[in-house]
Amino acid sequence: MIFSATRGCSTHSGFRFPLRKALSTLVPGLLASVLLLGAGPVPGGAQEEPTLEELELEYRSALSAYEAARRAREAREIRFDRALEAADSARASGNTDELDRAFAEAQREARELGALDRRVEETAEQLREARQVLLEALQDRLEALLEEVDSARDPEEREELAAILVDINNRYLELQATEDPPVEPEAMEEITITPRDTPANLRRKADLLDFQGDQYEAQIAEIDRRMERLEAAQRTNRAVQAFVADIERYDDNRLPVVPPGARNMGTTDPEESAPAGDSVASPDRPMTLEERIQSLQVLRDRLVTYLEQVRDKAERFRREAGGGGRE
Amino acid sequence: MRASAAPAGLPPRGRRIRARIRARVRATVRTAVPVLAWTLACALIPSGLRAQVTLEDLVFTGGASLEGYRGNLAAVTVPAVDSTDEASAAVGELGLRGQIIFLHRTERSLQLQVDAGLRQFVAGGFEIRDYAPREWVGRTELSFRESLEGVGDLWVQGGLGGRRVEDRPPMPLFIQPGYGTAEGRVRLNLLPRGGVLLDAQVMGEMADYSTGAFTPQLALLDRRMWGMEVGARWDRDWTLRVHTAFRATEYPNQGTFDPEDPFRKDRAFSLGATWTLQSNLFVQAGLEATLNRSNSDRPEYNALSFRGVVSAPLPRNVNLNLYAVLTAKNYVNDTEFARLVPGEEADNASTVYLELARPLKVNLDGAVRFGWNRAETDIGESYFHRFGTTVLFRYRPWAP
Repeated sequence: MIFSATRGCSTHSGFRFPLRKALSTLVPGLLASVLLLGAGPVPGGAQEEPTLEELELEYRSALSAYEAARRAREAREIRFDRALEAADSARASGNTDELDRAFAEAQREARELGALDRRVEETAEQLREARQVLLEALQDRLEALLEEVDSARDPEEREELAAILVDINNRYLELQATEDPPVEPEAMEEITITPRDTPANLRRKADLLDFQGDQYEAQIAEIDRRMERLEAAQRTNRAVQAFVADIERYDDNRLPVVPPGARNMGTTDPEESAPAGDSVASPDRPMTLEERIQSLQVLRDRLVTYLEQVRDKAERFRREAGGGGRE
Repeated sequence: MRASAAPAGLPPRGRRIRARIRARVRATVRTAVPVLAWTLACALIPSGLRAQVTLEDLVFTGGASLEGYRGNLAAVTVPAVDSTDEASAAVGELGLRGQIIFLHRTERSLQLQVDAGLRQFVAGGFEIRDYAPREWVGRTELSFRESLEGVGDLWVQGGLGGRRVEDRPPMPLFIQPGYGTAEGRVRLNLLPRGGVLLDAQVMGEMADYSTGAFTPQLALLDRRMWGMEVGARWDRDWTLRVHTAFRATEYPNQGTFDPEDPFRKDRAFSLGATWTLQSNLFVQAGLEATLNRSNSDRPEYNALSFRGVVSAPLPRNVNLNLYAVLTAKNYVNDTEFARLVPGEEADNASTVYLELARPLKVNLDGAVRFGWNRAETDIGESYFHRFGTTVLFRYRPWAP
């Protein structure tokens, strides 16, 4: 018997497949699988609470991930500073090719730094959560131990429990005293106030910070000049695109003698990148005008943050030194 | 001599009406597709992505023109024939273009470009009657870019376009007939090696022309094309791109009179270069040579085309824009048949547009545009001219 289209399908080789039967078997199975997958693990049930040791391990793992992210960001910052120093030297010597290369490098490093900032934030959040969970577990354990100590009749057992209690309490206090992991990058964080600093020392440090601030200001001014040029190019580009689009919209450039539908060559292609400039030395794909403006903006934002930080820090150092302005 | 308005041998009235309705429905669908694609794309964006979606460079255009036309060429694709050599028209137009960026990351991006417009002519100077042609046009293209680690960028693009023309007039007021197109492209832009960026792409296109009861011959222009192109680009303060391309086009409704190979098939090879300077001054100059060979003698030709686009700032915040395309063409074989089917290929053509634009408000630009087209056909050294002046306003609602 050959099945009709509504009942089943038959292949060219004559093999007959009962479609309805197959569907009636498959559909409930599929539905059940989907429901099971969607439901996820059954809450409560056989799930075991993690032990204190497991939570300690999780905390250490989160701490290690956070420290690794911080170290990676520090390494990037060194490269970023090096690119900025190269830009300063190039600007001082008037070498525009070198300045372009250094700025392209600084933009790349700024983008990487942005990604690492986010990584540091994520790992810091995970570390905070792991610490909180561990603190709560330690607190629970302390309360339970206190009850056990109170109810213990054997003095030897009470002594043993007290020793454990002291150790866990120490761990709890140690963990509670830990500061929240720092997230924000800080410019020139190696310059700090030490107890041995004299007012003169502090003013020298403030001057050093201000000198770095001046460098940041010069770099920001250079970025602003570049962004202005790029924005002018972007305006021109948009004007050209609007002009060409208005001509080509109604096929007016396709005369009776031009192949129908054939586009005249070389339209202003939006996916085409802008001429090189900053990205001249880039091993990556050349960036579009919009991407270059965005990339410069990322670099500018970082430098503005650093500038504010070093100016604030210099001001604080001078206040600590007893006031006075910049020399 | 005054020509007749309609060709002889018309189909019965009922069939004509049905054909007209069918053509109108098809044309409406074609025009509506890009708009629907835009709306659907907006509606179907996953909510997670919605926060990242940006609308960029949205421009509304409104304008009015006065245009003149000279040169009454033979035009087999136009429903009516008129013996006038000169015509003129007042034209109003509305346009919209922009792009929606759904996703823009280093590793991938997804964007939709849309361009649509409506143009209304009030044409006069014809012998039989005055015409009021109306054009609806729409084009949309979806582009997806995936960055391939250590290789480059892979682009996948697909686009739909359509135009619908009502009350299409006879020559010399030439308006491209209505059609629908679907095109696709896969392109690989390799990472720079030794300062050179190589790219390669394959592309395909289908075009279906709207036929009516009086214009079944427009189906002659239906075509299917596929092609490939490779290019190399050098980026300095300017960009130079050289490219070579191959395109194979089939015209399933054009016969060759050869029973063994009955339909026209063209093969075109091209070689070109485009130089672009993009700063506050924009200059683009391109040259392209094309060799078109076919299984039909008539359309075999060699052509050389120049395209130039300039945008330069002038004093008083005025911007000068220039667009010019010049094409010189030589046919390989002599033929006794007329080669020119408007909308198809023929001889030399020149197009020049000059525009002076300046901002009127923060989001509003005003422009005056002068346009001139000249086309030389191989029929008795006849020429086609179109010239006009347009006043345009471009409004960018979200200009920075």
